[in-house]
Amino acid sequence: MFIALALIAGSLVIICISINGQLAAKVGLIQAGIINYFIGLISSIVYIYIVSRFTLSNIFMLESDIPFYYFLGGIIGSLIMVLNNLVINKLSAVYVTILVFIGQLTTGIIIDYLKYRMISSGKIIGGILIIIGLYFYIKGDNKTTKTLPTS
Amino acid sequence: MYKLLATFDGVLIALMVAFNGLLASHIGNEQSLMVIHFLGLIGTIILLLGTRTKIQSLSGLPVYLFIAGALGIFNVLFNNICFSALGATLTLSLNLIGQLISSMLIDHFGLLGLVVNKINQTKLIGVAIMIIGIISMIII
Repeated sequence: MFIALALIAGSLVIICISINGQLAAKVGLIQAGIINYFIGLISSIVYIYIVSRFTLSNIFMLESDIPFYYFLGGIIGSLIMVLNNLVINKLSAVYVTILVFIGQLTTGIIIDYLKYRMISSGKIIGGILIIIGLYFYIKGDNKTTKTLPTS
Repeated sequence: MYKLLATFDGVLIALMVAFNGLLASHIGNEQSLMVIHFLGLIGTIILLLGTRTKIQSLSGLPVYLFIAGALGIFNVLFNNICFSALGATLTLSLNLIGQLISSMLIDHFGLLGLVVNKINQTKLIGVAIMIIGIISMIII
């Protein structure tokens, strides 16, 4: 079930990147980002209203025991948007896809070590297999100007 | 230099998924969506001001160009749910495979107005190896 959700999240990324690319071509990257986050904020409020009828108490009860870095995700997201755009214009899609994934994998393994207090050899072996598969996939893809990295 | 930046980009993506996931497990999936998008909006506004970008008019843009932001919340929501259940590595790897399979299908049928680019054997071998990679992440 969670596996399916994570796969769907990946497909959504592709749809969002395609649409966002067209928007950015018209209004510029940063303004497209602002539009996306603004619409995202409105949609989250609508979504909260639909699923929980505004029980925002949690937000206003932000206890001080939440470390500040838990809140960095949203801000990092806006940096990623700019960084993606920068590297895609300078490197081929092959490099971008593989290097971004290597960065994700290494950091992911460290995060999982901190989370579960163990390094799983399956994750390292699996990660290497995915990089090999990624290489084959890109080799089979004859267009090289594709944009891939995730949001 | 740019290769280093691309790798750093991946590091940031992993950190983002982890922080968002941790936030969601503390304040709930719904509320965290709002906080994350609010902070992302602040972040992009700072970038806008910092780079002194001129604002373009939005009139005459087709409505479907604005859908990405609304779809994006489900991306964040699903990632947050999966991070607490599956951890960072597996969530990110499944994300990548979901991206590749869907772009393979979009290209194969030429959806979203893109040029048709048929599925071939090499691509399928690549996806098969990646699925074996996922299975070994789950069972080993």
